[in-house]
Amino acid sequence: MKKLTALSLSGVLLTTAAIAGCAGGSAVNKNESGKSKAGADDLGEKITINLMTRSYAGGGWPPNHPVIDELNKRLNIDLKIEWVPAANYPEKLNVMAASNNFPDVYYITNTEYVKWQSKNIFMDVKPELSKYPNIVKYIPEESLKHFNPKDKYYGIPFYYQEARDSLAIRKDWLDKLGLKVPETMDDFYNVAKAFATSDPDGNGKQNTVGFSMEISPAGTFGFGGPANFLTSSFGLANNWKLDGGKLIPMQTQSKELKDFIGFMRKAYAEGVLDKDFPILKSRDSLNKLEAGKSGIANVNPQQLYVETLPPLTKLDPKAELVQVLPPVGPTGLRGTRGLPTADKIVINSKIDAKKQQRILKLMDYMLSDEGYDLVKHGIEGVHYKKTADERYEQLEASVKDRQFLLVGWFFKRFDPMFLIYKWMDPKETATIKAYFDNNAKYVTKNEGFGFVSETAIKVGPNIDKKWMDTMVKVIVGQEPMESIDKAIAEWKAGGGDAIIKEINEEYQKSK
Amino acid sequence: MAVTGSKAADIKTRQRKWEEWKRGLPIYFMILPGLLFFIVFKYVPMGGILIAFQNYDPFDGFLQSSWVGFDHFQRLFQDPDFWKIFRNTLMISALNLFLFFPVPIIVSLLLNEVRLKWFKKGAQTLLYVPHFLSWVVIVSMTVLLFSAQDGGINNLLSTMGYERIELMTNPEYFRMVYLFQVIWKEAGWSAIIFLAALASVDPTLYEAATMDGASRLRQIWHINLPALRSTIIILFILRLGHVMDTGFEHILLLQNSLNIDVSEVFDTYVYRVGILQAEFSYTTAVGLFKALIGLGLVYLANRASRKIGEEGVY
Repeated sequence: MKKLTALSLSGVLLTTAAIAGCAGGSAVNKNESGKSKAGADDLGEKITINLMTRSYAGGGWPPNHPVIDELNKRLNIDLKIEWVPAANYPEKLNVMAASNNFPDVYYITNTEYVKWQSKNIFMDVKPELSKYPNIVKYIPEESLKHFNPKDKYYGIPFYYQEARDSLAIRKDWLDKLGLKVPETMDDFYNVAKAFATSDPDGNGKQNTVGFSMEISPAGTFGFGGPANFLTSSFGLANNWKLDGGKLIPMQTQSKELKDFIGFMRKAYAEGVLDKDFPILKSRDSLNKLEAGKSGIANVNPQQLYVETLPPLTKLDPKAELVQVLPPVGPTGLRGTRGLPTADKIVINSKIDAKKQQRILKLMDYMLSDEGYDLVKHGIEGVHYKKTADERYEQLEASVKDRQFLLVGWFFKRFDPMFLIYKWMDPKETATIKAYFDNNAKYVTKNEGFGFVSETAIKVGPNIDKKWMDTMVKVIVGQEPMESIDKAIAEWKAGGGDAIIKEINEEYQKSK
Repeated sequence: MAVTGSKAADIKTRQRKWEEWKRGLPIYFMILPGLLFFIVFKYVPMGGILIAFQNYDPFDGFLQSSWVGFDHFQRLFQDPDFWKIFRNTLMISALNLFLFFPVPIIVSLLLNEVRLKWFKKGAQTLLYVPHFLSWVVIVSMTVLLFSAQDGGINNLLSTMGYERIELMTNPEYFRMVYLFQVIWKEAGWSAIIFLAALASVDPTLYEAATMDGASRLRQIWHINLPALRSTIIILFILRLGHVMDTGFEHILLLQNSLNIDVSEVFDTYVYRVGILQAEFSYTTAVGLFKALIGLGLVYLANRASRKIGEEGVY
């Protein structure tokens, strides 16, 4: 009932406003819309901007956050942010699509971006970019082009570090068992086996796992967790591999798959691979490392000193992590699957042109030296303070406010050190940088990245998931090795052949 | 003379009826909110069924999307997984109907026999409290206790020298885990309605039965069960209407690559294809198919129940 009253009330108000607007004369209106086309950089009018993005552990900010207040003040906007838990994000987008009602500017996952590109719901930002020097400066053109038709940029990329995650191992466990940091695949297996069976934590119980991993729910990126660093050792592609001028998907690499799956199958049977892996969720293998239950995991170096090490050293003060480079496979191959930037930030094409310009202005500001400093480090005196020349100290408010959320979860420069703050210990910063630099040398590129296939949009997730289900069944021994070929055949028949054809056509066109 | 008399009587009865109606007016008004609720939230959305026969594109809307007739239904029946999903759905429904459904009845009969008031109250509370836990909590608890590597129960088993049980990943256990979780969560709660029916039994019946020398079991058989009969039948018919609704959240949470062959049901399929891949038309068609089967079953069961002399639901 209350809602109804409110609705009718607002109806009345609207009508009055409309009448008042008419009385004010159309000349004013015309004038204003004319101005907006010229690029509303004057910040004269206060504009409300609805923004939506993903959130992870800890959730988003409350509406009256100091960083939002600061942005509001500097850009004369009223920024309203909706934080949607990452796990439900595609669901949320699809529900919004069903009602065709999107926010003004929002983060969009690649699947949905590619699917809706032609629906005229995203603003083409290409013609506007010349007005926004910071966007041009800090976002590479190549990345803007990915997943877009020629001459259009329907969105601005959300930066992913291509070689962000790295394999790390418990140095103290290695020392205790008298083992060395693994170099080859065999070393890796032996170390993992010793971790599982030789009681590395010395509590007298066999309660540690060799290595763990998660299955990506979409089934597209192969395996999460440490297994990500093993696929390349067997020659498996990072989704698409270039072979003799043709792009080949990893789903059809029969021989390489058999080598890799065979390895995993043995690891599972001998208790080296975590028995729980089929039911693990996205962060579980890292959780196990942090809980002292496993000694090898896929870590995000940026989070090393903030998230991973504190609980670990609290549990075991001697705990020490070192980086492991991807192990060398039987034929000398090694690599880490690069994860290039695929998701986008898009601006609603249906909103007022003036608002669109202000949003671009906001994004441009977030990349400028001043703005980047604000959204990354927060406000001086509130989140940090200067103690000496080039020396800073973090203040308590930054722990509570988590001033970095917009950078982390919404929009940032293409900068691997985007979560490295000026108040951090230079030694830690150097370690993190070393992780990144070492890893970057071994990136296995996804050669088919950025190309769009209609069939993949329609049936891709479904056939990928089925394919992955079979791989998991083979690893645990529920199905024989021959099922791999069957899974490949089914993937191809279910639409894979068409996907291969379409992606290769796109690739030819791009040359 | 006689004719005019009957006319007068006619007018009189009509007047009386109008009077009665007028007296009932406030009560009729009270129906209004309920009626509105059903119209706004149940009947109006039914218009959405139309998209099952369209290639619905949310950006074009109802009016501009193209009509495709029964294409989506054809696609469903031709899906290689259709029979698998159909079978799984029916299997889980069968578990619900034949293995879960009797449990609350038994629970209520047992509770009804307890003479210690405080014990009865306590037991009942303990039984129905799990109803208020969400499936996420229940499934996570099960994982914590039973996962093969880190689960508490499995660690205990292995220290005692037994084999670990892969309760969460072995497809053979899936249905059992599902059923036990449903019983644990819902049995106490569903028993409440039967307990209420039992509370209304005339105590003189028991006295008479005791006089005739009937044992407790005899009393249950000849007094309590007949008292529950109509409640049981109505609830059973209502449940039949949901034969294809296996509940989505619970199964999705239990699902993984290894048990997918027994755990994929229409509800999870609709979620995966419809919400995640945004095939709205297709999944509406699947939903419609489900609803039609449920409707058919309710109709048949209702007729059967009338045949055996019970009241149906309508």
